[in-house]
Amino acid sequence: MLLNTVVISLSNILPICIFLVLIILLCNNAKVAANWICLGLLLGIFLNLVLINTASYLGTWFEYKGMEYFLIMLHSSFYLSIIFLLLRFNHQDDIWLILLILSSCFSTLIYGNHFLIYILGYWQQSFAVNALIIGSTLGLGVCISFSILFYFSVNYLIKKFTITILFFFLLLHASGQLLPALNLAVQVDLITQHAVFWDSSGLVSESSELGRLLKALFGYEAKPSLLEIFIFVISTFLPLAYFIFTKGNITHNSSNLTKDSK
Amino acid sequence: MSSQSLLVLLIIPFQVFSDIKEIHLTIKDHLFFPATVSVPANKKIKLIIDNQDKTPEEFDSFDLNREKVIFGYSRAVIYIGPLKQGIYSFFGEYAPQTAQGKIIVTQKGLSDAP
Repeated sequence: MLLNTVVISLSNILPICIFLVLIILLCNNAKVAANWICLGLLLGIFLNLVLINTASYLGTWFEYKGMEYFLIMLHSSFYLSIIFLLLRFNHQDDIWLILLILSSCFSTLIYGNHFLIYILGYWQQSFAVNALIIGSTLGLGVCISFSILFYFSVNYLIKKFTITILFFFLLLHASGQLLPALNLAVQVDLITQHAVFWDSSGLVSESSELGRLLKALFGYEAKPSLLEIFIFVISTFLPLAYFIFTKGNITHNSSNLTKDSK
Repeated sequence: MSSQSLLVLLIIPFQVFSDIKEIHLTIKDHLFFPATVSVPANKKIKLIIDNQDKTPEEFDSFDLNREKVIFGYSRAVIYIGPLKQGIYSFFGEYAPQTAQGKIIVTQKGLSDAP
């Protein structure tokens, strides 16, 4: 159980940590206080607790498809919040701060949900408490260590090259959230399952450490369909191309932002 | 549109829906029952999973690309397929040591294995 708790912690907390690193870097470059992210995280944890208490009821809606419909909306909302956050990068106003809070909240809701269900579900079993505490602490420790390394690596790349790198990482991460939404739509028979386009599970298995890291970074799937690849490429590179072609709009706009943060 | 064609439009989706084979799985004591299921190739399957444990479980499969949390004493429905012939494994993410199973896809879809 200890090992399983570590694995579940890593799978669910690592994507939140990666998102937090990217969004903190975005705030730093926008000269906006990162406190707003904490508000989003707290809101996400609160809504997670509400969701856990209503999920078994919600799950029975629409012939047991209710939870999937909700998650599809959540994943899509997360992607859209990131897109609008990047689009309004040079206009840090109240809307930008709301988007910042919402994206942090959505990220916590998406990934924290499974972790909290696991912890709360097994907490009442006396034999499990120690394993849950130690396993979660170990998992969290690994996630924090990786986050620090990831933060300084991306920050170095931004300073060495361009802020577009941060946009690229954020778009990769957000587009990776559209793939689970697509799988959920197939899972409830909303869209037809497409044939596997390639199988890289022999190279990098989704259950391996590297596979989990890549999944947390950009939603890696070892056996994607052509539709998944198409959606991932379009949702990543179309906005990126737009940001690159309108590069003047995404340069460091500190003068405008400093006023806001003050 | 005539009333007959309207009737046909209403009936067809139900007929298509009724073609989907249902497979029942039960989770009890962190085990899947039956642990091995045979299904026909190139057919859509409706998996109905009953969790009879007090604790939640997550039906997870890298092969099938499916992930679904099933709360204690709850039911979940997952659609899989159409699948090619082969063996597709699944497991309970919260108890992966015990909750394991396989879906064997064959041309004819033999009866459920014990």
